Amino acid sequence: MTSPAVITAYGQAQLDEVLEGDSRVTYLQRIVDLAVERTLRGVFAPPAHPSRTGFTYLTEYGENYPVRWAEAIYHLKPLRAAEFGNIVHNNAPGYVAIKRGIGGPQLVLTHGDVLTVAETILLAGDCDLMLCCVADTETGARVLALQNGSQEVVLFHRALTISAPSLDRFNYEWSKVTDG
Amino acid sequence: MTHRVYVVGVGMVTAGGLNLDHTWQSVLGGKVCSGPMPSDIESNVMPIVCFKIPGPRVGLHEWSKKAAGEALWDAGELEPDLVVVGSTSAGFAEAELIATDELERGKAATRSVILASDGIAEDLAYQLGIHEARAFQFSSACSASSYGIATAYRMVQSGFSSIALAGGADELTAPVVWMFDRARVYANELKPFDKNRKGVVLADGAAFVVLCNEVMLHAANLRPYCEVVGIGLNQDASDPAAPDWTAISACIGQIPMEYDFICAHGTGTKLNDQAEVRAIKDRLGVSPSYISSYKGALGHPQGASGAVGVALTAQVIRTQTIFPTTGLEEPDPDINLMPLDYAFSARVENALVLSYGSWGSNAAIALRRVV
Repeated sequence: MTSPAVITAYGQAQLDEVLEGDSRVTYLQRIVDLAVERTLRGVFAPPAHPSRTGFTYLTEYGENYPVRWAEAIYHLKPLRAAEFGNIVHNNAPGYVAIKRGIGGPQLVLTHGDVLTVAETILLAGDCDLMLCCVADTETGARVLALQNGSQEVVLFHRALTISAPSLDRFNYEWSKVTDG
Repeated sequence: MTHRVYVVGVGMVTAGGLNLDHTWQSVLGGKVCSGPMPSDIESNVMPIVCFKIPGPRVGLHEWSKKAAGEALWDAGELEPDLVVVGSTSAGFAEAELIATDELERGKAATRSVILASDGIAEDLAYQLGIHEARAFQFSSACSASSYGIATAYRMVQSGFSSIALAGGADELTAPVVWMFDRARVYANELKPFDKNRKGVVLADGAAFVVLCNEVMLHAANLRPYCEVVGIGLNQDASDPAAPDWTAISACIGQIPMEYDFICAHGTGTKLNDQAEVRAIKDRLGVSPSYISSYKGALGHPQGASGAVGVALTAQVIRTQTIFPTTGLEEPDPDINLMPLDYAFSARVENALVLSYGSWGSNAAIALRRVV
């Protein structure tokens, strides 16, 4: 019988915490990685094998790459070949997977409920521990700026990560979950 | 309770045709359905060849609606309670237009342009009048729709859903073509597993399948194409671009089966084809089964790649006919595999569909004939 999925830890991070860092790593990648690190630190469960650790991730805006492309085309701004892979929405969890050796299923959504997907995959036995992450830009501010014709828009990035092992002996206090 | 999951409807819109039958005939006939780059993006990119859907460029939503509508019609108008779409380029075209517009208006910066991944799944549910359906949209590069179909399979299997519409849709956009070109993997012809393969040629494409459990299958008295019997999902966790054959092998190994046919990812790049064949041989033996790639005929439909593969493989199982690897003229001796270069009839009980995406996102979906 499959154990129910339970949530055992969470972590979050935001832009002002990751301003310093390797310029080859995008802000979104840094934020997601920091949130994952904090989550994994707090996991009250036996460690899962990396190949049995999965990742569900929701982002609506990703890295905003058509803008980088347009700048490169029209303003001849250099775009490194290494940045090629960042056009896709799964770049931040992909970066974290490589950095931390996480080899389980990685389900990247741009619409939907990551917890439902995580629960489905866990209960099917496809992995033992699932990191669930939501990371995005603060869209409201950006849309407002767009409407007002502002060219200077502060990028607000935020990530929330929780982990959900398929072990029934852990109980999660839902009150701990906040959106930051 | 675990349910069995069947494919009961298939629909697709590709460079090979505006429905399953036309696409199937193109693939079977080994027709190379490529053409010049669409006028709306040709001025911004160097590559001149692509695989575009015939007719006006109505966009992802309309193509998705057409392919999904065909799949639902094929499934006897079943009403899904789940809509899952995999798409990587969703929103790119709109963002590109905004960015271009801003730049042409002389703005120095385009930071206010937003890339919202277009809500195809939600819109599809609305457009098709299935308002109660839960909607999920996946975006994991070229394996997006495989992840979508795999998740839909698990959701039907677990009872979360009883009828799911699942697939993928992607379109040619200047940023993606430009990026592939800059990465030096965009070619003028797509020749999977060929000694002289030079890379990928991108494509438009939308494909959907209808999945249902055994209760719905019998209640609606449907004739299934096949049964979905397993999935493999994993990450390379090694490199953003270069495929890792050991991880692909492990992904295939998550489904302990033998296969009569493998629908390979087969993108025609040096690295992909080499890694894929090495993984297949490592897991399934030196001559595991018939292996084909449809991409020489239809191009690489990016995030819709897995959905097109599942749809075509369902048709392979139903018709017991294996399609050729169009574009294959001289098999690569380094790969040491003889993929098919002509269509023929064969007994196909079990089949496997493979796809991989940037950042090491691997997916395998196993299908079985229903007797």
